[in-house]
Amino acid sequence: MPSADPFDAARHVMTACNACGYCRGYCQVFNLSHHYASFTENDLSYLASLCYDCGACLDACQYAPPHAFEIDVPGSLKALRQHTYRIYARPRVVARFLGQSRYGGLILVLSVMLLSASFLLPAVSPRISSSGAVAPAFYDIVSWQTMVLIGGLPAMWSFVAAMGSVASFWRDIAADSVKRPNLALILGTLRDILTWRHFGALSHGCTGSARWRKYFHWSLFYGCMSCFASTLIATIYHHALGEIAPYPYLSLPVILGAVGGGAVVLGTIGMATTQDHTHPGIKTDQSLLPSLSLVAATGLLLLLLRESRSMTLLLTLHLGAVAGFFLSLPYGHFLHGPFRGIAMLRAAAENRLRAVPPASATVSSKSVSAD
Amino acid sequence: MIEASPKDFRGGNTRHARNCRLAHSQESSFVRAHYPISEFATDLLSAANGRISQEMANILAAGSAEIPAWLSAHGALLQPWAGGQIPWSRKTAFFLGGGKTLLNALYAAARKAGIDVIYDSEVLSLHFGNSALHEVTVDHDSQIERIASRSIVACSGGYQANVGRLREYWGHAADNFIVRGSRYATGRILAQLWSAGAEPAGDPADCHLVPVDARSPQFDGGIVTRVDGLADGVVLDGFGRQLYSGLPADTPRQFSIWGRVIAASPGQCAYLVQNRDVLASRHASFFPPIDTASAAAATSLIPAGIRQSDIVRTGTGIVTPLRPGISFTGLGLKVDPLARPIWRSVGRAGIFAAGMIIAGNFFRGKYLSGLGTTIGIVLGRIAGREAAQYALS
Ligand SMILES: Cc1cc2nc3c(=O)[nH]c(=O)nc-3n(C[C@H](O)[C@H](O)[C@H](O)COP(=O)(O)OP(=O)(O)OC[C@H]3O[C@@H](n4cnc5c(N)ncnc54)[C@H](O)[C@@H]3O)c2cc1C
Ligand code: SF4
Ligand code: SF4
Repeated sequence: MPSADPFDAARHVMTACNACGYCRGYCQVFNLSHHYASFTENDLSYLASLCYDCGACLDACQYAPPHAFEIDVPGSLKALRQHTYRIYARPRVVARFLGQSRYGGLILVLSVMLLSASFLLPAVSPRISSSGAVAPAFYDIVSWQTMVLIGGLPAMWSFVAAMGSVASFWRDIAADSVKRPNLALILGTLRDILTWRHFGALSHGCTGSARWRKYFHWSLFYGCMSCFASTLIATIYHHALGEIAPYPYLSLPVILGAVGGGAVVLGTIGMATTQDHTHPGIKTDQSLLPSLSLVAATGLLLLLLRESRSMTLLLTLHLGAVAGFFLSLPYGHFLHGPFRGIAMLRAAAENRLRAVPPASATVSSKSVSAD
Repeated sequence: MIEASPKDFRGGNTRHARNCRLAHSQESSFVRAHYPISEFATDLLSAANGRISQEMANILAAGSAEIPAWLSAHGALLQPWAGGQIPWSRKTAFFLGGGKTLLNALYAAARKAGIDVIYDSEVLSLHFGNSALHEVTVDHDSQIERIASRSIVACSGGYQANVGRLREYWGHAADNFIVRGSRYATGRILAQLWSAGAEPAGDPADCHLVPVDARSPQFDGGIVTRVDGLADGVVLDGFGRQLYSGLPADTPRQFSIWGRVIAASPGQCAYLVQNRDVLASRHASFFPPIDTASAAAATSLIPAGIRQSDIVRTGTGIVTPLRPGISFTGLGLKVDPLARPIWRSVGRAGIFAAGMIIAGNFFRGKYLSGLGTTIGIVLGRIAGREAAQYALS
């Protein structure tokens, strides 16, 4: 039954779910979808972006495979999400190129690391021997300007490309529904995003693994934020205070970087090990977690071994990992963050509209079936 | 516990159920207002037109009040109405996630309690022991085994998946019924208990028949294949003649009226013709209606009699082909308040029955929404307790 086209397949399951309705109350996906008499492609991308793949509705479904209807909501929505990462990625050629493998992004990161090590290392080795110190400072090896170039250019690329995707997703998914976003709506959605309010919110007494995933995801996200803050503060130290790295262990950039890096590593390992159901048939981008852990791990190692001889190698590897990570970021799973944020804003706008009686012209809840 | 189906399809029709009927003295997070035990019992008696006993009605009604506490003690949740996801309901509560979620929780609780479940194992026959040890012959993955036990609870449902037995009442019309639930409800155990002298309860006419889409699979199509909204359109038989008209609002009760109307129509096939406008205001159905404007669909799926009817010829029609879908049969075993079958001559100790197999003690003719699972839970608890006590005695 499932169609090869991800939109058709998602439409098929969401239509079945509306006819059934047993999973209402499970999550946002069902609570919102039953207001739709039928689904456009944009409606489906929107609903798909709201699914956390917790698997609860698959366990609940009397039509799940091996039933002939083969209803697999998380699988179908996941396949559609993967599809949206491909069709909204900008520029499309890069997306197509990297999308050839589910490890495309990771391969890019590894290649840039290799490049970075093989180009920078020979270039910097003479400088190390001339400085004579066992533990040279970072900027003795790679100048500050080069570092900013290696990290900053890919980051800018990443930002511009991701903004392109986000803008077109916004236009398709939310622009019509979120006409007058007021402050309360935006702040409320932001709170839900930052707390993962809907992630495993289901209190249906199942295993606690959804909750653990939430904590690991927190760890990952706030770990990244902490690393980001570390970089920001280091930049301020450098420019405003004229303090040059490496900073002492008990300085703000080092603490934030170390805690953040540790949290990212913990989060990635946790996320990778708590996924208790898989969708073997779906080609999913597998690069984000390993790439993130490469960045975090090389960063942490660099911190630990910054006074040893391997520092130079680690520095070039870390720089390469950061550059590669940023280059690959707008292609693949990373987009789930902004896309889900946009979908959540639309969900909040729809809920706000419905909270105002009389309910908007959608399907009423009288169409609930039981025998 | 011996289950004929594979693990994925365990739990029979309960996988497809959604609500249960329960009495309660005050509003709770699952049900609105209050539904006194006495009112539940009165509802049962009046729906059955006096053909069930007051005593059994009272037992079911009183037991139903304990359902929420019992379910939550076993990890199964009812859906709170606060989220606005279910309609206002005083008499029935909804299982969060539906019947399969309920079953998943109960199977997990059973495993914790040390109860083994053997899947893919059909009970072929019962052998009643004189010295209070009974045996069952089981076909376990094509291997025949005999299992002995002091007590047995028969909870094998109705016989709606057994077309041969349905024919006894429905004639060859039964060949065209679609079975909405489990293919394993063949009534094999019921038939053996009857022939061993157990008294029947109910009537072969007592079954739940609703209109379902003719494109449904023969078994297990469940809730999504049911066709609602017959009152908004015109129902024609295969020759284009209107089957039944003048029904007022679309109430659940009508599902069963329509099921019977279609079962009595030629070839047990009918066609719901509606104006295309209805599509905008209701959920898209699982099987999309056939658009008569599209010639290909119209010729292959809709007989000439329908195509030539006025409403279809004007070109605004969408057509849904219908068949009778049978949810369950209600004819079963007569039991006493402790869930023991009533035996005609020789009494057999240690045999108990619960669920749809004893539904005839609780409803006749008219089925009340949510009754099926309530009978299963309330009488299942009684039968289980009694069977355990008997086995230990
Ligand atoms: C589509 C649908 C929707 C429904 N919705 C509702 C609802 O919303 N609310 C409600 O109250 N009721 C509903 N019902 C009715 C409800 O599902 C049944 O009343 C209830 O499930 C009966 O439970 P049971 O365990 O007695 O029988 P069944 O569910 O029929 O189970 C019988 C079990 O016995 C097994 N079995 C049978 N023969 C053998 C054998 N020889 N050996 C071994 N195992 C055997 C079967 O595999 C099966 O697991 C619905 C029914 C259907 C079909
Ligand atoms: S039980 Fe299955 S078809 Fe029904 S709402 Fe849940 S996932 Fe959808
Ligand atoms: S997998 Fe979880 S989040 Fe996704 S639709 Fe199902 S219940 Fe909702």
